[in-house]
Amino acid sequence: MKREQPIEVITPPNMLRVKVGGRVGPIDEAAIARAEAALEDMKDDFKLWLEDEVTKLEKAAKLVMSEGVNGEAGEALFGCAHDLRGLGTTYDYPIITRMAASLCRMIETEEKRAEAPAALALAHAHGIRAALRQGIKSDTDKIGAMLIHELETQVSDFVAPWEPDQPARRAAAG
Amino acid sequence: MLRDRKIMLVDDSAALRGALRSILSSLGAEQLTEAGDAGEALGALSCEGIDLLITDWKMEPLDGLALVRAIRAGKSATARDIPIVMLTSYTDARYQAEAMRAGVTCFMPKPFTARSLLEGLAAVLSGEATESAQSPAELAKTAEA
Repeated sequence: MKREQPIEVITPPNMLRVKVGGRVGPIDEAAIARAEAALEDMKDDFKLWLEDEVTKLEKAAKLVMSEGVNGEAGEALFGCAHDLRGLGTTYDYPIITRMAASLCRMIETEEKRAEAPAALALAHAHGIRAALRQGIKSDTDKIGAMLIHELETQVSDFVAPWEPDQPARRAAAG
Repeated sequence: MLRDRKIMLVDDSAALRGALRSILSSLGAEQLTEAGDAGEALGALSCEGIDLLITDWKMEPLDGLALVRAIRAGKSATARDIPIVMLTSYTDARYQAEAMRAGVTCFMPKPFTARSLLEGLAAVLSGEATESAQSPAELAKTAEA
């Protein structure tokens, strides 16, 4: 499974006055455990929320099949994929984050959307739906691993002209 | 860590705000305000004293970046200096640089976990995010550890 992305803290160019003064000690593991338990209590809700988001994605993907990836339909699809990329792992489905990230990579710019194959976009939507329906949460699942590998490979091939560092990215994705 | 802090959550996803609220509440945050878009957030900021703002980027009609710029350009020094955490799925360097120029205090990628969120908030609340006590690379290492 892909590692979660590290936090990046950026120092703004202007010296922002820190309103909340005083140092805060290191986060203790008990606090993290409490927060994780709070999220655990919401797991039933997570699947319902993901259902809503995946339904939106499917509708957008179907529209792309009829109207093409270019234009408003493609932008709408990117918006749905972008949302799912940001939610999947938090909602206990890291494989959905990864599949949505693969779709985003394919259609993130107008140039890519102009040439992106609608069928591959739809395949991502189908893959995400399948993962949710079957309860496949990560690539530790054999079917999940095959699905994500195929999607990412197809997308890597498609985006190669736009991404000179593509071989390295593919290797990093494992 | 968060007791007595007034925190505003700005995200167009009510579900995500719920997840954030749940995590922050588990850490003792009791004064949480929510806004579903940037306009609503600006309205609330003008009448409430907020200690920390956590915002999404991609929202309509006004996005999170416009919200940050509006806050930083505001007339009220109290609101202008609020630490702002940008919690977003836009993670490329160009987006981070743009957020930095707009005056974001801390840039956190989505998806977040309880651990990544708490590590980031700790950096903000201790002032490390604005005082460069640690470089971004060092903080990233801390978060990964």
